[in-house]
Amino acid sequence: MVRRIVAWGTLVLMLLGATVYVVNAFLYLTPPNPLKAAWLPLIVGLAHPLFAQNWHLFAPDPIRTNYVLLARCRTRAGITPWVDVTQSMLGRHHRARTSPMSRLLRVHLNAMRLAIGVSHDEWRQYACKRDIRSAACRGKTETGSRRREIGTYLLQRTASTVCDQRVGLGTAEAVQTRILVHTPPPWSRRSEPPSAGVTRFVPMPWTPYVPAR
Amino acid sequence: MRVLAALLSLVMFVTVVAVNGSRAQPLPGASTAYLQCAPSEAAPVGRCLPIVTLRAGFDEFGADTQADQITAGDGYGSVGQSTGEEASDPELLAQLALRALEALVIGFFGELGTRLAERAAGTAHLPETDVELTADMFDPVTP
Repeated sequence: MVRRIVAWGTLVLMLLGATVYVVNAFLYLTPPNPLKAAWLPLIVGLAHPLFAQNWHLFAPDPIRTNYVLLARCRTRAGITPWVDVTQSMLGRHHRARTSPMSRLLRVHLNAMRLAIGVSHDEWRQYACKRDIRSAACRGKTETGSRRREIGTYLLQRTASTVCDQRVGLGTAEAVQTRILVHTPPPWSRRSEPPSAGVTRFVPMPWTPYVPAR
Repeated sequence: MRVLAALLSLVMFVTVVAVNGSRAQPLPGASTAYLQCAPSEAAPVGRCLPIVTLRAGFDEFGADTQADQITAGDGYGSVGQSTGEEASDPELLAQLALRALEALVIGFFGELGTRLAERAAGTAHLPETDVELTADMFDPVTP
């Protein structure tokens, strides 16, 4: 009798847990809606960190842009040419898959997104659809400003390290970065080379050289 | 035994590729983006565009904003990504499905959506977002 109760109890608990998980995952993956907004703290609390997912039920959204970082250094002797930071690290990663480049690349790739205010916050995107002039949409919130500061500092540090390697440790006086956002041809023109796409650039100002601590 | 041998071969193959590289053609020294925006006369004309305002991006690509638009901060202007350039069939279907779902919810649940929206608007700090939710955010969009 006891064994039967334990077995049924376990079964019911498992079914209950599975149901809660499935319902919560469904709500978690739905696009912004009143129901999700009303229960968002609970939904996110149940999903994070173990069951977090980074895809969306109604939005198959493949990556459509490539981010490339350029950097140059100003020394007493003059200004160096632009260096393609991303491509050189990517090339090293392709040559040796076990190298730390796949991790190191993330530093400046994320820094670029932070610096120019890229956000995958679905609520922000929703807010932009409703009102493009809202503070959240324009990235003019406190969180947005803090993210940009962090991104800008990380780019400054990355460029300083690049300059250490290019012109010698501590030689550079100032560094400058440029963010390139390349959009290759869309799927309907997939036979065309990447050069048929368009690149947009965001020039960043000259900033002082920051040595490693 | 055969399965083990096959698995071992696969592990060895992956290890060799991981250590020695895939022997694929090496990447060129400069990326396409760099070549397009290289400050030289060899750079193709019209393929490297400076930042544009978000408003201009909207005018260029249509009124609909989609997933990952870029909004730059003060001093940098804004970049409108070419998200609305080409609405593929899955995206169109998703939009239609959303509209249908919205109509269904409004039709079946009446005031419930409004009440939930009002409840959401009362939520002070939502996790993972710094967007302030308001009840009218969920009013049906009239094109």
